[in-house]
Amino acid sequence: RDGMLAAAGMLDVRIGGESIPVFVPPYATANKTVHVPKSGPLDGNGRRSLYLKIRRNFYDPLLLVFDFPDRGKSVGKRLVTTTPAQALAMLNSEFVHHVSKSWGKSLANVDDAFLAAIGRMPSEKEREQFEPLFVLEDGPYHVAHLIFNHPDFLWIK
Amino acid sequence: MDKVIRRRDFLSAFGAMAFAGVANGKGHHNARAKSVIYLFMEGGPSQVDTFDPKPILKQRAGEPLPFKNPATVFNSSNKLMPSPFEFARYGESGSSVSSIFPHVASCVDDLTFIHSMHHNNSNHSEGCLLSHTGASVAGFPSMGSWITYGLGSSSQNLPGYVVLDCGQTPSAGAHCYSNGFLPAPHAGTPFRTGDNPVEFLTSSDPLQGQKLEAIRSLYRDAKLPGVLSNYEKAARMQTAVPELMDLSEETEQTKRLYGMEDPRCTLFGSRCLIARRLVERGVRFIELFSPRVKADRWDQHGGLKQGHTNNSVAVDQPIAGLIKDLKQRGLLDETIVLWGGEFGRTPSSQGSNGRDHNPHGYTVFLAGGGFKPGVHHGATDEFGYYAQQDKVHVHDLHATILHQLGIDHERLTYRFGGRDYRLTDVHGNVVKAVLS
Repeated sequence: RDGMLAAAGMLDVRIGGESIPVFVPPYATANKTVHVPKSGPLDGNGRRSLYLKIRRNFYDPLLLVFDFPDRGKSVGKRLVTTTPAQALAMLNSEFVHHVSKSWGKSLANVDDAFLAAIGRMPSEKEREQFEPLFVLEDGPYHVAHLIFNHPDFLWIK
Repeated sequence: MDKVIRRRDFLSAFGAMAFAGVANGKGHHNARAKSVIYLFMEGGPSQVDTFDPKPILKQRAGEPLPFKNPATVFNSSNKLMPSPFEFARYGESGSSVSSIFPHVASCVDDLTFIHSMHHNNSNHSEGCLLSHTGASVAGFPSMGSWITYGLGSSSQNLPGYVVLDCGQTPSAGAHCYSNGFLPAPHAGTPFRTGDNPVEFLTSSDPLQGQKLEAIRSLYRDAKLPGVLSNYEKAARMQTAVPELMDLSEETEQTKRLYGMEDPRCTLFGSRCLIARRLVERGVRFIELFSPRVKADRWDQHGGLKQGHTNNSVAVDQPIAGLIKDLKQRGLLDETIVLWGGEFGRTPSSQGSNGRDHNPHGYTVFLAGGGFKPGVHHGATDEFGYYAQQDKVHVHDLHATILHQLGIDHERLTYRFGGRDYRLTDVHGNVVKAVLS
């Protein structure tokens, strides 16, 4: 999550200060089974994930699919998993699209996207996949979104 | 050491994905059933007011229990209280059902009743956790997770373990359908009511197809087939879930069978219908929790008559509809339907018109999946307090359900915290008497 904010130039690197409440999507407020807290901003004001408020019965849905540990018990070792829910989150979540759109406004080219997100230049093959997207309508936003799904951004080998 | 364990988790996650392509992954022995539908009545329905009549309560109404009153949550009374409902006998089995379950009463010859359920956890969270995970503390994998871990699921486009939100989450919440220490793909996936059933499911991205093409190529080159298969499954879920939830192809007759035209049980009726559709799509474990009514779940510490009536009216016809629909479509034989709560209630009163928690003796019923229909197993004492004859612990019930799915409960284990865990931990015996 911080990686996405950093690549987009949205990360607030300040240490300390007030925690920020989790974003509550509108459809969650319709579900009355869980006491739904007051929503924080979608991008958390760019604050580091460390400073997200933790409500034990309403975790951030994005972090939850990425093995956010359950605060109701002690977790000796965090699980490292892969699930379709993670793929859905990276494809469709509002947060990922919001950060991609923001970054897209200032993103100049595919090379910059790779440098900011992955720290290297794209390969020839990657250029062939990314450049055609860049020139489309809202191209930079789509390139930003796609690079957030790149294996080298998401997964440590 | 650390890396080896992580890689094993990753591989088992991938392995589970691979399982999804295998219809009914191999069990230890021949399976009688393929799917489970768990109708969980949270709060604790009272057995003496539903399926376990005790005439002595009327005869000796107001008298104290003749034995020492066991400790209950509120310790408020030990005076016998008769049921406010009338019982009658139904079907060829002559099964007794109270007046608040008229529709279920019409199915009794397809049901297996266990009247001697018992355990030792008298509060909701512990009882819910025990009923779902076999442990009364949080952090353990639920029955559905063990089952999908052992057998996978033949559903390619939907999760193997689905929890149909009916408007009310039980005590202990998501821990009830958690994967605990089993790999994450085995967690129950909640499907909400309304337009957004699954988190992150809807996409308005016009370029998704193109991006997925790029993603396929990138992950193939990165040699991460597990992650790629998750993207593929995610893409398929985007159409599979709306298709599942779209009930327009179901006939009016079917919808009426589930009570969907009756506003008192429309919600649970539609959820039960979705449960049948999930079975048809190969989903392994489906759970429904009793819906929210004008009462505190089934937990009638007071206002028993009104509370239990409100609860039953919301679920009775849908449950009967589900069983009948599964039967007429030839699905009941291979589907285990389980009805029950986390405990029962005391035959002695709490206050003037309620009953306290009673885990020492309560009733559940099952249908399908090779369970002997029209049978009543076990019994409570004459007051309906303690299970007395052919006692069945929650662990025994779990062992029996796993058995019908082709799993030997003692052999489906997972190493965690230095030892081999299983759903039944170190307990549980298959109750052969209820199996046909």
